[in-house]
Amino acid sequence: MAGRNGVGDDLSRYTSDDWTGEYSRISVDLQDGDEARAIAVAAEAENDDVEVIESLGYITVRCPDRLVIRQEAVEEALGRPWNPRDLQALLSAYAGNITSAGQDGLWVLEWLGRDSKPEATGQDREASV
Amino acid sequence: MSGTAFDSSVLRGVDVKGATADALYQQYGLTTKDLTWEPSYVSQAELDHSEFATRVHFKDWDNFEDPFRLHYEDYCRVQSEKESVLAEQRKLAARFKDVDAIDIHWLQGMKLFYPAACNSEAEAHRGHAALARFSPSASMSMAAFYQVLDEIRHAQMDLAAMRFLRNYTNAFENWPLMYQHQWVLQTFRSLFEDMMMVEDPFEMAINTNLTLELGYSNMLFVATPTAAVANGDRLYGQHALSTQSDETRHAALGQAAIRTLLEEDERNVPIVQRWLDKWTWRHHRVFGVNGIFLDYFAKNKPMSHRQAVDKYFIEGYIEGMLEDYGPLGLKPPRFLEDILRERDTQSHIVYKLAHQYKYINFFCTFAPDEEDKAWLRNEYPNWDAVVGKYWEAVEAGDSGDVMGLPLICNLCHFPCIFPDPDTPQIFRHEHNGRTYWFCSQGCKWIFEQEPQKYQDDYTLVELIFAGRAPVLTDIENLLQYMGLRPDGSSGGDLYLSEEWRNWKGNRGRVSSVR
Repeated sequence: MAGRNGVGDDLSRYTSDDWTGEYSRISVDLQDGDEARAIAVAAEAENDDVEVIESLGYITVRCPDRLVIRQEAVEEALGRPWNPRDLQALLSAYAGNITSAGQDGLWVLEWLGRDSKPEATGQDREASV
Repeated sequence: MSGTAFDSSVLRGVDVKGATADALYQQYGLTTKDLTWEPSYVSQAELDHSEFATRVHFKDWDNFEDPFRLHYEDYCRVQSEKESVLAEQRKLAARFKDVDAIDIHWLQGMKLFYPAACNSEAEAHRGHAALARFSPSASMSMAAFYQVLDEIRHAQMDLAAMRFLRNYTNAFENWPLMYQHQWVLQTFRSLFEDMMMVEDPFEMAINTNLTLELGYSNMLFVATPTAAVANGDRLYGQHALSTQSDETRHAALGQAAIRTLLEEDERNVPIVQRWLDKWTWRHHRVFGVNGIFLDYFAKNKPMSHRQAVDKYFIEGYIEGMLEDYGPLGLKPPRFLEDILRERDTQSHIVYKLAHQYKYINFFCTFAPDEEDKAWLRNEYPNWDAVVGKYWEAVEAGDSGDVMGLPLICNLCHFPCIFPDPDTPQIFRHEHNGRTYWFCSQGCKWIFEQEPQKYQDDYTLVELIFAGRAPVLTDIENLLQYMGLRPDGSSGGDLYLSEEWRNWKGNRGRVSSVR
């Protein structure tokens, strides 16, 4: 859980035009229990810089750029077969884009902006009024 | 829209646990795109509702896909799992009298939550039924159809909770009428009616699935359950986490929609920008109410409103948006600076307001005690400056009740008390010979964008002045009009209430849980 100054008092970086992306984190909040713990173990084994944060009722698994959760790794940690589609029932919040929701035994969350064509239209917001 | 014949044996007898990705995908295809057809008796244009046709630019709707690739069998399996957890919990809660563990202070927040949420979820299901019907994308139609079922589930979960709690409180006696007339709930009603009555199906996909379900509802359904459980309320704890596990699916759909629109055609950028600007502000104003659960109704306070805003709104939503959509030409929401500025004050202002008008409420409020105040001052160094004097006066014996009518914003239906109730910013606007008042530049801007949508709406105070609702001095009739007991016993000061005298459960900080 974030401390009192989760993102601090200077919030100008959110409203200025020079967002650098160094702050954003991929995360999933999973309803706590055996399955969530096994998913956290699987996530830690396969992704860099994974943090696991406990809250009452759920755990947050987060990392900087891309989070991959593999069915076999979860099954290994859980000690039994596990249907990756069941993660839906535990997933109460996330940050990032879900680009695979259990297809091919994989959950993948990632940022997509960096791969997008950078030709921002640069349209002035007033143009939309 | 392919002509593949439907072979139902593909669906029956497929063991999802053992199914390959191909089989899953095949089922998804069969139960989404293959369920649509080309009209033969009428033209496509006649079939589409002209007033609800999309203005966005898109080449081939068949290319849009629901990121969850959800098909009906999979949906039923996962949802029945979620429901069986809740059903078991309700049974055990009744058996072991879980309600006694709930702190009566926290319960007051739940008295506000359930009628607001139940009616709003019902509103959302109607909206998404229209989206399912009129979306130009088969994949989005099916996802919207699942969302209809989800929203009905959520409304029924709220109803079940009210049914369970009505043995202990009289707050829910007339919850549908309260939603029509009670002053606090007008903020929710106005928002949800606004959300569901939009001109474009994709505007609904963005106002519900993106700005609400990715931007705001995590605070209500993930941060708040932690506070619930810390105050003995496991029922809300699981209820909320279960609700939000549907909303993650909705949010993924919203993200996919916005990304596709931005990537597909740059003419969509200003359209999406306007929706984003509008709905982020609308949701900020109303869902800021969530702060009073975390900062005030919770005696054990595991997370402040400010922390929840940081984690879920800023880190989870705004950062992701800058990251993902900035390169596609989208700017941060128009009123983000105002939104961020209210992070440190909104919960205090709204809770004080609820306390000032507690005599026409269906939940009780109470003054923060010494321990609460120490925590509030620590979390919010400006707390004394914002509301300190008010609570000092209440401590000295003042009821705090305000016996006059406030100026209410013609857009959001909140009184004009922001960003500081002592020196509020009030925006006046003339339109077609009528004067409108707004609590913020955000609300004024939204009105100016679509005056025809809002011009004939009246606030409760305007209805009272027009003689269409009972006046404040006719308090019994006003309470009845609002769906409350004429003796005012569902609201008021908690410590003077009938409920406080009769409560057999926990009072104050629950010690048996963290």
